[in-house]
Amino acid sequence: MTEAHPSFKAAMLAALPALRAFAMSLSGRHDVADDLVQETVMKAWSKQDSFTLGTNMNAWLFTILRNLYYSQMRKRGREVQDVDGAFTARLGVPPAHDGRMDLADFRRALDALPPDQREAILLIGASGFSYEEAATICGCAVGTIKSRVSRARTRLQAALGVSGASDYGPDATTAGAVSRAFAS
Amino acid sequence: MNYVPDRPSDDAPPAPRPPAPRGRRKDPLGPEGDIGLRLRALYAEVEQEPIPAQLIELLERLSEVERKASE
Repeated sequence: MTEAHPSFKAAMLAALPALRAFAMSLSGRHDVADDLVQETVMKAWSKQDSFTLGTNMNAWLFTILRNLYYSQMRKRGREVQDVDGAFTARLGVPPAHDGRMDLADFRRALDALPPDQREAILLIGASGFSYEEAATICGCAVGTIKSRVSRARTRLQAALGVSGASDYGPDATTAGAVSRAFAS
Repeated sequence: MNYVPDRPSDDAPPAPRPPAPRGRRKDPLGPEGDIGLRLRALYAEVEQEPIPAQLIELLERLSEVERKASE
């Protein structure tokens, strides 16, 4: 045993990709996102006694990162907010898996959501948190998360409906192709 | 319980309710859901990038400092 907390460190390492994606979705910039993740790692390390191994490390780290981000945003005023939407804008998802399923319209619809709704639906739908965990991360009631997710989902589905108007037929082949493309 | 049967007792018991459809079934945010798939595709791009070296080094430094402090 040369390290005091090898599993804490391992758990942090494992959490970094998801944490970076969340930081990107908040800040919209790689440099800001990586600074945020770095600060989160330091803060989490200094507070590791308050973390119980075996509980949800990601939810704990996301909470720390989100608090750091919003406290920076308050300090800097609107500067940070101006990059709103840049997250999805700079993600160059290749449009070529399947013409009808290209993500451009979806990205635009996601960008157009109010930030609180976008955050909620990303925490649930992309990061895979439960409603309860997302509520803890955002410091709000579970019902608030549910209603944000529901409103976001309605808008996104409307956007998909519009962009996929010719897409109502049997869809198994397309769906399979998309799953494979996204899972790779 | 003041249960008063409103039918003859030899009546068949009420048909069990079909189980309420729950969660996942057609959850648009679920593993096969149209929105969930797209949200995860957007995240995947960032998640699949290599972790920046300075983050790995930071973790190494932190655990090294801690190791020395505990000696």
